[in-house]
Amino acid sequence: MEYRTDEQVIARARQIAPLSDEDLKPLLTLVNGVREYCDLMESLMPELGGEIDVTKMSRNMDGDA
Amino acid sequence: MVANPHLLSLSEQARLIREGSLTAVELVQSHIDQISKLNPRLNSLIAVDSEGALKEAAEVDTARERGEKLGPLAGVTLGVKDAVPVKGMAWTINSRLFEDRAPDDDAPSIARLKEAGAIVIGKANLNEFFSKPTEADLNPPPWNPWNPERMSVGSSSGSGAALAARMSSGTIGVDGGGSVRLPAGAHNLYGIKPTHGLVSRIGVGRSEHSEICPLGITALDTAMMLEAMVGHEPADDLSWPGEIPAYTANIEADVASWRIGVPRAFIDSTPNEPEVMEGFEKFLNKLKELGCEIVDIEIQGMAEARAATFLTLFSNSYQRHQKTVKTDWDTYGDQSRVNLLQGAFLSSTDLINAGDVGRAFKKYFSNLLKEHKLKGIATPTSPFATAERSRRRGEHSRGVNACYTAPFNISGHPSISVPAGFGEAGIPVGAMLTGELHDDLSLLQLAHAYDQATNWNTLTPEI
Repeated sequence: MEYRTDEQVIARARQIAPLSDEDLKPLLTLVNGVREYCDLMESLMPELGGEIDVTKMSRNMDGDA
Repeated sequence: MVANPHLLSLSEQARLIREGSLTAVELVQSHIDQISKLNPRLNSLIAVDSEGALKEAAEVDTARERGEKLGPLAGVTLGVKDAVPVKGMAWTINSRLFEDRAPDDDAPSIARLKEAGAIVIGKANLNEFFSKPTEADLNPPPWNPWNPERMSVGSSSGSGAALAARMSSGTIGVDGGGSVRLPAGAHNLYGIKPTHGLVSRIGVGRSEHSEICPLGITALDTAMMLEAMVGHEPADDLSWPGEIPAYTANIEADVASWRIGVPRAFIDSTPNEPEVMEGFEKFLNKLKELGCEIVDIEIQGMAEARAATFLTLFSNSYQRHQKTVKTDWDTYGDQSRVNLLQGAFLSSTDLINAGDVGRAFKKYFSNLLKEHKLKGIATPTSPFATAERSRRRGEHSRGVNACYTAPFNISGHPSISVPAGFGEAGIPVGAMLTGELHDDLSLLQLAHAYDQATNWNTLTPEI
């Protein structure tokens, strides 16, 4: 995911919808969650020619253990 | 004349209508009376077609009097989540964008239910575009009949609430991350998300992992509705073309010695409320009484699969709304419009990554069932006993309420929520069984055996 900072998220958001300032705060919270999900997915991607190693997947709800 | 026919299960109602002990008109009128009495307070249904339902019921009664063969669902009534098109009825998805919309055709799954004789009596309330509900939505959120001071869990909230209040014989919802299983659990109902592709998704857009699903008072009711809904639809590229077993004719099974896995370490890592776990342990004990072998197992990838499901949902949602969020921003509810933007921040690589993770989890979970010789795994349906808790800031955005349900949307495995007791607020809690792809029958058989051994389906809210 290429949107790493609040400024980048706000700039993108302004491009796609006429958000108010009040809309931005919940959006930033949500996009933080989306970014965590995307990073989690990326961390599982194999080297070229490999397959996803399920044994490296998490055992808990937060995906961090 | 049968007293209070709306209190009977769908299967009982259908049997009595076939036998002639109950007319379809009497049943429909009983549901209309219940709707008139309770819907103003509960807001479960957002459109009701009393006249049309009575007309169809009269046709069922006439057909029976003539000795014509009736369909398995002849005369029973359904409330359908207002995300699913029903010809001539409202189709708003609870949004002001579609306030005056009515479809020209039924969704194929609805057409199949009608073909089996079911009568759609109303459209059920839901969260605007499956998002987070607010009082400012086109139709404010429904209240849970088990505690009318509390909101119903969604997004198929009205489908859960209407059936719990016995406003119809059964209801239909849509489950993209748990939106049928969660309200089933929170309303003392059975709700199955079938194997992906069994029920055509035509009518609910391009949500690849969202399933149109039945909710029933009993497991048998749920099986009867599902049996009517399944079948290959050539126009749906994800529709399953293979054979599907008869569910209701085979619902009775000896489940003794069936092995059920319990992923204890994963369950212990979630913020389960005490009453959820109390209900879950009682559920497991009941399975043991039925002869099932409960086996502790370790599961991996639930968090990753949940994330993959939500990323796919976010992308599907934004893709559909990308033009109207520009032009009609103020027409959307202030919660749903922000939620809908999440998919705009994903790259194509992010989405392909999510798809790969989903496929890897799908293969892994099927292997897990095979390796441990399991008929399925058991978990709570939700860690939370109330909708308010599940919507708490931070937890809602991470999808914690869907930590048990959402992984099986992207994997496509069948999953059923069954009643498992009540929390402190008087709101029901659910337990969930998830099984192998295309073995929906085993889940229905197990749920039915559990249903027969418990009395949850005899309980109705005192309202």
